[in-house]
Amino acid sequence: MDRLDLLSFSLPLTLRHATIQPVKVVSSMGEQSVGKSFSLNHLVDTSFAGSAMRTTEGVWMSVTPTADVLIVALDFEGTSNRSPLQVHALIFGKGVHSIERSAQEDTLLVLFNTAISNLV
Amino acid sequence: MHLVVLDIDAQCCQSFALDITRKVTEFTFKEKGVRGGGSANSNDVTAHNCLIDCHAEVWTRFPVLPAVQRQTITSASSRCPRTLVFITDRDHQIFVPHFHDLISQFERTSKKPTGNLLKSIVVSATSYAAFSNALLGGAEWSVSKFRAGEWLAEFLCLIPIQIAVTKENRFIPLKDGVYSTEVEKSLLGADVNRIVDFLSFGWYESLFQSYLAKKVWIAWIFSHFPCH
Repeated sequence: MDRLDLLSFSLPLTLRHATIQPVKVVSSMGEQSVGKSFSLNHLVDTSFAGSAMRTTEGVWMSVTPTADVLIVALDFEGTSNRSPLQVHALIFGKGVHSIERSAQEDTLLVLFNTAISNLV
Repeated sequence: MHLVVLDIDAQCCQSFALDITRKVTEFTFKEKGVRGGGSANSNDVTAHNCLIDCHAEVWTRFPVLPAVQRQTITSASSRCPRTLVFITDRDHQIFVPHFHDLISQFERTSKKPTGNLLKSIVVSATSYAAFSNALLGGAEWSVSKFRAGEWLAEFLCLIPIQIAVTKENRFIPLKDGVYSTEVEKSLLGADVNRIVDFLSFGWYESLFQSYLAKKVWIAWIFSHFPCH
């Protein structure tokens, strides 16, 4: 079984009185390995697993309930701009996976990101 | 990776081999630096501390005091101070200073805001007999008490879910964090309402339902994001 695939809880959680809360979406955008996951984690108390060794793949979501709003955090894979560091990684066989992102895939991710986030 | 269980009553040691199917979920403990080198003059320096020192790794990678904190646990729950008890039959006196050194060194080198959270962790070391007596002696346990739903919500929020990937120049939304060619095929040419019905965020669904936020969030996505 592939991790928590079948975990889909349907039991009603006994949280505080169920009330409609405003939803705020916080997302990250930027080049690879600049610390997007790290920054999100420290901003809204999430646990995205980005690090220098493993880059984020695709889009990940985590939720931070607070007293007033429900914060939805989206962690986006970094855009591959082939910085000298990444070229180095490519040559030495690290991070090849994310280097292979095509320009169109980068664009799709960025489009989705800008479409659902408020730009500030 | 192995999960090792010591059964003191049966006087046996059981070992379970865990098959980690996804590399990203595999964590290993590695010793840092050179062990024992040049520190022979000090009596209180110990080797093999990686299982304790990995705390600092967690504090480094994840926030100690985030800017915005989760508030799933309400005041109705009773939360005890964070406590770390080392249970062993020897060298009880060296655990507290080692842990405090670890905290001081982390605070000095990382310069992260910690709000005194780390220093307020109650660290102690005790023997198994004393620990067992305290638990089985009939006295009320001094442990945090949470409402089950709040605890579960807090726990679920710790697990991010993958909601989309890109593949062969396409943007592919995932259902419950899983890529499925059947779902993708069934959504070919679907209208927005059908896609909304299909979207599902796994273990976060119950959270959204309890906050009645799901419809708000999905409607918001699709009002901003035309499918084609």
